[in-house]
Amino acid sequence: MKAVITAASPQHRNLPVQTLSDTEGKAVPLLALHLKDLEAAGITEVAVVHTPGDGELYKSAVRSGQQRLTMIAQDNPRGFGDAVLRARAFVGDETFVLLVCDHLFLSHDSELSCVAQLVKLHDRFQSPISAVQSTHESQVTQFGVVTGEPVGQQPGIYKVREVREKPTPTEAELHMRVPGHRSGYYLGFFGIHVLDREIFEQLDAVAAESDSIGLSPALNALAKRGHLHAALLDGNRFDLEAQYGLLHAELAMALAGPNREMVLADLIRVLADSKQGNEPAQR
Amino acid sequence: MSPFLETLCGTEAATFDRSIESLVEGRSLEQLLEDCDAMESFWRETDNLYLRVRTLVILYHLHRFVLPAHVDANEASRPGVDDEELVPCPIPLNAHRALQNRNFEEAIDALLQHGRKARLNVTLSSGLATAYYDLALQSLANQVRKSVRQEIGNQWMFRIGHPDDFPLRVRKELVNGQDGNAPWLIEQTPVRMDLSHSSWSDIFFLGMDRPEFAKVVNVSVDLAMTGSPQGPVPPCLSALRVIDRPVIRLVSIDLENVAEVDDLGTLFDFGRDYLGLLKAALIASGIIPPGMEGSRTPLSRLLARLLGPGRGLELVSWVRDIPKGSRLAVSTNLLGSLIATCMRATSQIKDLSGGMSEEERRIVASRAILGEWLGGSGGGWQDSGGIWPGAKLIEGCLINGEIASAMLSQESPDEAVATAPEVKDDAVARGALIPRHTRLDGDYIPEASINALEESLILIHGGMAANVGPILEMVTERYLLRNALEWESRQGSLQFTRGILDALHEGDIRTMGQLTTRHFFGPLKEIIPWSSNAFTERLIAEVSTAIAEVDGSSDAGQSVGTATLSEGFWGFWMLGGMSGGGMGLIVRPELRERVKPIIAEVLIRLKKEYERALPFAMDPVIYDFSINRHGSTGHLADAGAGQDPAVPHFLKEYLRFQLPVLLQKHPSERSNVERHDMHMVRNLAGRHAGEFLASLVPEETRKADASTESVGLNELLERHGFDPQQHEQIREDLRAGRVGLSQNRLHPKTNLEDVSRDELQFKFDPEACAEAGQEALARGECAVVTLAAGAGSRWTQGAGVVKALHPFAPFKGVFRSFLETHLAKSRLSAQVTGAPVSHVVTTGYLTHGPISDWLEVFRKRNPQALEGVDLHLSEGRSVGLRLVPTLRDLRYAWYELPQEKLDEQAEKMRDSVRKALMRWAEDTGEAADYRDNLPLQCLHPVGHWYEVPNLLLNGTLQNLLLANPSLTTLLLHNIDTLGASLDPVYLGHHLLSGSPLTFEVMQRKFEDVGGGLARVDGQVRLVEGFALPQEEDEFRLSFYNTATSWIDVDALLAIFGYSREDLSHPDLLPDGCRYAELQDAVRRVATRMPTYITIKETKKRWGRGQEDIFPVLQFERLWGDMSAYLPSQGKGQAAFIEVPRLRGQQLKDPAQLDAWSREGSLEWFQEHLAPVL
Repeated sequence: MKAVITAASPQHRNLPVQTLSDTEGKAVPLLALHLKDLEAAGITEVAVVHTPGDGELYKSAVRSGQQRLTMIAQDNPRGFGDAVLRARAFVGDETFVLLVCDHLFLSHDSELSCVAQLVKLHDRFQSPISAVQSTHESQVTQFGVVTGEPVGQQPGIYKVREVREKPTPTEAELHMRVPGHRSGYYLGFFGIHVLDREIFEQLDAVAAESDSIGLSPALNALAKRGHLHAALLDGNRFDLEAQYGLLHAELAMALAGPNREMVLADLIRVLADSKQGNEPAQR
Repeated sequence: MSPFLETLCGTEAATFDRSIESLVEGRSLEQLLEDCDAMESFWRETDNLYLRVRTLVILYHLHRFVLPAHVDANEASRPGVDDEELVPCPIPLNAHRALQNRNFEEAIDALLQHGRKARLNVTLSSGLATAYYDLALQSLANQVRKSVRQEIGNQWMFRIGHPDDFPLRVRKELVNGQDGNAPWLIEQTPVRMDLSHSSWSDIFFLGMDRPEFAKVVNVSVDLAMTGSPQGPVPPCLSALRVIDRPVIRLVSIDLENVAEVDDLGTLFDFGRDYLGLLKAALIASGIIPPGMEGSRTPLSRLLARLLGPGRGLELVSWVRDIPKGSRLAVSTNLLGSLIATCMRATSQIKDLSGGMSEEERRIVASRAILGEWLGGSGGGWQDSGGIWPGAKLIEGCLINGEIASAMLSQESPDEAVATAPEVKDDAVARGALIPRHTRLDGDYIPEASINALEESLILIHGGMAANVGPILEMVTERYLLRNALEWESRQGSLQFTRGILDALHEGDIRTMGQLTTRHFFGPLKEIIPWSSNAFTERLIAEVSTAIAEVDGSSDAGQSVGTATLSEGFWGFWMLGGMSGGGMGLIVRPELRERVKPIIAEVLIRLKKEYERALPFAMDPVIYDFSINRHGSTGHLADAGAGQDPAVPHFLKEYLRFQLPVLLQKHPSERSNVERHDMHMVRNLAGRHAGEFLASLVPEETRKADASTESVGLNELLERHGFDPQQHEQIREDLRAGRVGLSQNRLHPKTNLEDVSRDELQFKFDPEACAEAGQEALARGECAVVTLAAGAGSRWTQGAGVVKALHPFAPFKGVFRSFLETHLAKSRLSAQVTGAPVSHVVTTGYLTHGPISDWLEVFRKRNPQALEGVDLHLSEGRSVGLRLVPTLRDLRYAWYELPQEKLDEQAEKMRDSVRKALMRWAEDTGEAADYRDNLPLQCLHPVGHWYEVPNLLLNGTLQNLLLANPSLTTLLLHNIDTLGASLDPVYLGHHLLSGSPLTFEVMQRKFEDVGGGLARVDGQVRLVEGFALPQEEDEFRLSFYNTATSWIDVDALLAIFGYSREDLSHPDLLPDGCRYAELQDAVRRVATRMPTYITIKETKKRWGRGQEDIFPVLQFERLWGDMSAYLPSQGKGQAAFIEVPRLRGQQLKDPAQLDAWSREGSLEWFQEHLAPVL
């Protein structure tokens, strides 16, 4: 299995090389964290789709270890789906993990990373599968959202019926409700998918109809054919482009690691010392 | 099992749809009481909303109409019914309070606690009827609200309570304007006209209970006033843009209202200004989620989430030239238009420009229902039809979303009718809230048919703007009761709808016209007779004649329903819920343009004839129209090419408002958007300077008009005997707090007791009374005095029309006025007794001219109608000038006196409106003269006490006595006491009693509010409602004043110090030298009569059919107080006698008409007056 990381957002070109404190407090670039997760899932061939000119920077920021890293420049970008299409040659006929670089994925399973959890589920269902996270309606306008029916007795696994990109809450309520799910919450994309070559055919179809090539319409086409599953993983995603996204991600990692108590104590101190506006700090 | 329960629980249509008449027929009083008990338990136990509501309405019907009739028929003597139960009793105060607070279940409990047979008592039965009915309507309204909130796609808005959860963002295309050039997003929406609503089948309840009956054919139309250069356009335009200040700016161009809102609370305050619809749109579209009501979040924080920091929104509405009451659902479609704009701006509608998908239209329609609920109004289920294009069939859906009994796929029109109700075993509605729309033009109705419809139809606004709400309640009630005639008519209505569809399919507009006419004169009028009126029926007849003349046809025409239409007049068509406003006339196409000016002339002439009798809001108009094939469409009016032609019109109108604001600001204070607007003004001024300047001028013209009207008012005051000294004294007393609403009351320690029925019974043998009365009538000793000086402000909510002339009900198909009815009774009496009857109609400043004019026409048209009636008009000689209320009196009326609680949203509206009116009173000046209205709306009659001495002051009584020296008695009654008549029994009783005055009273019902008969400190007398020491005293009194009295003429003269001989002296006539002496005598008595300060509602009309209602202060003196005056002056005792309700019932409010008719009064009049009408 191969992996494709999309990191071609022109607005956040530095994000892949942004260093974050990992669970042990070591400063690690974001891209390296993703590579580590992929490596833990046994994936050694990874392509990074980037804005032209950024490839070398990204490559120099990470030590690829056992992994073979392929850098793919996306000139004249036409959307997220277009970035995926650029990796077609790299992927060939293999199944691949698609992972967005602007999110951080934190597994709650000490044995399996988020990528590894999804790969395992893919192996079980032998079908393209997207990781999803329960997402409040106030945030659905920022994510692709899926709906479908739960699969058998397996909690958190869905046969996807429909995919919509960034629906309004009205649209979400009308079309994207999920049986057994809390009202006001939807299945928003997590940022990791396991796909196969069929996605490229669907992306071609999207590209033929529209200037902008989204991934969601192509995934929707898979869903319509009954070829897409979705899974709630035992973990969280953090959107690093959101306001305080980095802060949330770092806090979550710190609190998930061995230095949890120290970080908590620091947090309490910060809370105690904090002041709002011009209010003098009480010591 | 009670047959009522069998019916309610039936599973077959034959059982479930049994009529109320068939259920009641043959049931004895005892059986009905058992039925009531069974249903009482049933409605409390059932979980099914519809069964509960239907049971409550049946209980209402039994208590309102059936049980009282049994009691009247003296069934009390049957075994098991105790006579004592029938004795009138006071109203339980706790029940009254519970009703006021809308705790209807508690009220029912309180009333039933008076014992099992308590329901037999007419007073308690009326209370139960009220409580059952209101509980039924409350349950229905709650269900609709719940359904609106639960509609998928709406729910999220009720969950959002914090700005951090707020998910909507305005599209970048609207935010990224450069140099202040924020593009306008403009939505244009047609209105809808319904070819058939299958007898108001669009009421929510029917659609949700029997969706298979809910079928509407409606067509989206563009309109223009006839001759408008730009031709028909979608009447509703809304516009939205991003502005560079964190506020929401709301503008209504047609209502000439602007507000800049910087807090959330104001956006939920709907009655504060004329911008409630815009606020409702912001909320219903989710831009201001309804879940945020009451949160203290700064609006700027929400706007920052929506638009980014420092930005705000401007939302503009513009109804282009369509007056209120058009029956074209203008306000619902405008609301839909505004909601669509807001939804486009926030990506809830996919495309910024162009139309909408079916799903998007359905969401807009559902949000429009939500918005109407928020704003306290309630449109129909099909009213937002203008959002859809062209002609469509709108059908009720089952809860699963499928059309219930789809009409187009039916083999026979009877199919829907035959559908049996499903077994109802849970509380879930059978029908969905939102119906399905099937586009008809193109497939089912060929384009040629649509064109033919356009070429044949003349769309008019008759000028009347009446409230259709009561009609919708009546429809709901009749549907639930399955009244036999109405139920049959409802089935027939569906067949008409099917026929109209077929005719359109065939392109046979003539047949369609016949069907709409027969539908109107058939099912619609059968179900709700009040959907028609005298104006409409005359209009149809006169248009038919006019068209025949144009057509050169001598043919008598053909009968269509109960109407006769000439050859070229293909049909009449009632738009919306009732006629008189928007209506359609279908003519042969080649006649259409030729008859338009003639129809315009007929409309104006009839309006002029009826304007003092019926409430017109404006002059009638004829529209140019075209069928809109696009539905609601959006347009992004950026600087690019391909602008919609509506954009420059809109900008010109908008900038006309904006300019004064812009000019008041120093250039350095103007924001970028405002600077851009200034630039636009310069451009417009350059190209259309004259036109633009002219559009700014009407404001000044209007002010000039107002000052002219003010001169007219002064003249009127002088002409009608205004007493400025008395006026100033009252103003001074009001300001000093010496008089006012709270000072109307008797001393709190006054001993007030109820009067028993025994004291009101006949004291003489009724046969002897009848004999004495008949003899007196045969000698011509009694005259009738009908009080018609007042406007009857409750009848038309202060519209200032003459109630006496209001053609209130159809007698054998012809609408008759109150005055006609009273005159007919006098004529009948003259026929029976063989002696002429003198009949005096008292008039006032508002009514004298119209009544005189009407009489002149009436005499000419019906020379026989006044045979045996010696008619006199007694013109009023006193008038008051209304005052702006004091805040103290407003607070007392609105916040200290117990108020009827309204439903949640209506309560908010009322509170908001009251606050606005208090600001108005404060700003205008407390107790200042009320002059800012039409002059006649600023005057007030000073109470009917004055009408009796006026008979002396204006010489009427002198004339009567001169013509008929044997006159001894006057029957004085109100114009709205229809049952008052020269009944020999009551006249005889009065004569035998020898009392100077006999007052007629009747057993009180719950709805009779305004005082009653009481023993006050030992003296039996009438007490006005506002004179009662405490508000709750009202409910201790079992008898109510009918305002009808018998007056001994000699005793009356003695009160003023005269005899009939004195009165014959010409010096006491108005031009006589001793007239001042007579005036003094009247004034002396007047000063001893209590002066009541009251608050009345008066309408102020403005714009195009818009109306505001203002509270104004006035004073009055009332005739009933003579019952206290006589003994206080040693002038004898008044007598009191109980009369049946048919004789004593007053009609104060049009909402009473339906029940009045259904309890048999209309039928009684039709039967008894048949020989003279």
